[in-house]
Amino acid sequence: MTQAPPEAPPLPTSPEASPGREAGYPEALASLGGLWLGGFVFQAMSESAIPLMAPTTAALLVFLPVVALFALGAFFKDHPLVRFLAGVPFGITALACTSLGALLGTLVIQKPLASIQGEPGFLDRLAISDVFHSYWFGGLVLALMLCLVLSAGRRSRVWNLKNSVFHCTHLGTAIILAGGLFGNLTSQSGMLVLEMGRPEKGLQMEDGSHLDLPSPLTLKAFSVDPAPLEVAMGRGDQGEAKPKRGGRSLPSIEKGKAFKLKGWTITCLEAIPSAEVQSRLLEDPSGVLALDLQLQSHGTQSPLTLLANGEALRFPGGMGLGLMEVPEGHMDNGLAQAKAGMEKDTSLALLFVSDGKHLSALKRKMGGGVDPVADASLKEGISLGPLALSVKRSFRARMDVDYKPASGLRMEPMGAAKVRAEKGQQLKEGWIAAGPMGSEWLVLEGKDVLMLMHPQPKTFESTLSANGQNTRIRVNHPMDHHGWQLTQTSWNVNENGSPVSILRAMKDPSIPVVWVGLLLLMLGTCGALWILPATFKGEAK
Amino acid sequence: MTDAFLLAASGLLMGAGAGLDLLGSFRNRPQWKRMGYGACVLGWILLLTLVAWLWISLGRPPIRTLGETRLLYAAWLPAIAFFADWRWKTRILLTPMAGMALLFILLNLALPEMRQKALMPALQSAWFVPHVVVYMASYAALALSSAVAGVLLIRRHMGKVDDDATLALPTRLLWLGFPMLTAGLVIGAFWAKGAWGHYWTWDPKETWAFLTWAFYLIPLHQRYQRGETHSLWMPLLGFPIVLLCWFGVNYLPTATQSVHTYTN
Repeated sequence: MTQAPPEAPPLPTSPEASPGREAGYPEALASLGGLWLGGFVFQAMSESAIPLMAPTTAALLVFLPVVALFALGAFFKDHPLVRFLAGVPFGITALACTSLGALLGTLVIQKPLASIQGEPGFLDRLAISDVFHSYWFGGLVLALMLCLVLSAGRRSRVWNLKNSVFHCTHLGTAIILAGGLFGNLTSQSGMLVLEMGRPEKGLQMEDGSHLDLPSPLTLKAFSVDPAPLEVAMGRGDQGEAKPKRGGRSLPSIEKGKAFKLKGWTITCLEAIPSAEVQSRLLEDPSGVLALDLQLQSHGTQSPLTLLANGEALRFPGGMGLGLMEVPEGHMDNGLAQAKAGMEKDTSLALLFVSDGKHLSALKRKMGGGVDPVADASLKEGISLGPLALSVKRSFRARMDVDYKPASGLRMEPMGAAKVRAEKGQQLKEGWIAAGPMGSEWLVLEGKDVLMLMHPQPKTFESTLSANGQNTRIRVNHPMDHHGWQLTQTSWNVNENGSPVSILRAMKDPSIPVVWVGLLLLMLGTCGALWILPATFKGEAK
Repeated sequence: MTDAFLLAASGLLMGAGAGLDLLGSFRNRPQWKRMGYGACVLGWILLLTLVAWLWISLGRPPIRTLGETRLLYAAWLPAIAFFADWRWKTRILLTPMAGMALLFILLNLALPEMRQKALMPALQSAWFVPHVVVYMASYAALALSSAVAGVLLIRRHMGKVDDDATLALPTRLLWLGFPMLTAGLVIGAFWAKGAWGHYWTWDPKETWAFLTWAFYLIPLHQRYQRGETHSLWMPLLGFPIVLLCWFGVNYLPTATQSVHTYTN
């Protein structure tokens, strides 16, 4: 790295080449500002994004000018206009303008212009809501590309190590940009939704249109491999538990596995990555108060059970029904609390209150406010619009929840594990669960609880049949289908419980060009790392 | 021994290293500076041990969450500083490096995360480790460039004159970080092609990666335009952009459109 730097060609702003004042940043700013403004006007007039075109036309439109500009730079390297357009001020200004345009794209929510329905707004007219498909952004990228190609062309007639690095970085970037523009003009992408056993070739494109693949694909099999269930120590408070942060990596659990966690020996008795919840009410003298009700609606009768101090029962329309248990002898206080509660939660239509010996109820009035229900009505029937409710009996019960392995595939599975926790003389056993239906945790000591983390898929994989051949596809392992690259993006479950595989299909003829550009850029930057430190003044001394 | 203990110990050593180096400079005691250097080396070894321990205990590379990337970044800072010290024979880097590493260690201690083993399918790629590791190395080099530029600007403001080699240090570090930044971008493009079908989608995170890359091209080209090797303001201004790209993107209005968000 201490070797003397190779002789470099004259810099673009070398005074020997041009005795007059070189065009600099003001001129660059004026010309690029004009280009941007013109792009806005053109965009507003066209009211659409850059259209797609045939690959041959697009290639001629993009790559032919690149070659021509390179030649122009090589043969007219001292022409003032070429010097200006290939100079650092123009390049930096073009880069700054492109960056500012791109910045807009991260500040304003982006959506395809074609998807806008009705009269487009001001931002839509200027394509600020679709920056990266707009004419003006394309124009700024073209200006940057023009500078890069011309500057590379200007140095093309002197070959040495430093110039090779310059070519790699500048031509590499220009090729990436040219490839990107070519891709913007030609690439197509859409979603392919495959149901089990049904051949499908219709793509739903990003702009809402439809396109057919050359031949259909059939989903033969779909599997989800769940990641091992993990448990965490948590803190449970007021019906909510949150896992504690920090500490060691979370232990994963499987049936029969035992491990130590904060002084507790935890043994996993059962682990179900995708569980079905089975709950039933068991009569239990130590349980909470429950009411058996009879619901009458349009001549039909159906039984209903209400548990004390739990979630209110909700009827279609949101009308709620609740039961509140207060300590014995505190009925008056309980009724006042219940009234205040109903005034707060206006969706509660009826609230039963019991101190274990007496049962009362409060009912919402039609015009607002709350009224006590007469004792006789509790047995004969409380009218609630088209419904009537009567109390059959009161008893004590507890909810017994059990978990069984789910039969089908679940989009958001419920994970469950039966665990035993031991510490000295203390022994705790029960289910812990997490998933779309909420969480269940095991109280260990005080507010310390053992809880399960939400189950996650380790991987998901589709087996596709195309042209008589089976191919497996999963995330990061795409497949090729007649020039379309198919990538596994997501999946779903339809109403029959059958899996639906969601793939992205992409056809982009610019890829080889972009890969060459990226390779050149990498070579160039590594080369620059190698040769450029030697040009520092300090080291040169 | 938990990760918090290792982290706190390395933070303590980094803090001690920065303090000894600073005091050694003010009091002109070379042995204090040497002790500070030693403390930072020990702190760095602890950080590397922690990264290795987490990798083994999690069964996956510890670079999935924001906190894990902060840890890797804190481990890269001394590596880059020691390399620069060895290569360019300068001792100005130790205090800014240790101070910055300490800041990120304290952030991790203040914002502990759960250590989940699961790795989402998109991250199960051969490109995952090189992409994040190279990016964090480049961020570390660019941060040091920024920190040294800041220190030199303060010294200039105080009327102190630094030699050419010292003044060139921010640009040298920038030249060290920029190729790695480019490599991170290129690796990310290859990865995105395999995972999502397109190498570049102008996702907010991708756009900010481009903006960061584009920004650093300005000081690198300024050298030719003005013959400057000692630009201090541009390296200094670059690091806030790096930070915006790293985690500021999550707070942008378009963050919901990004697929590149850290999870915990």
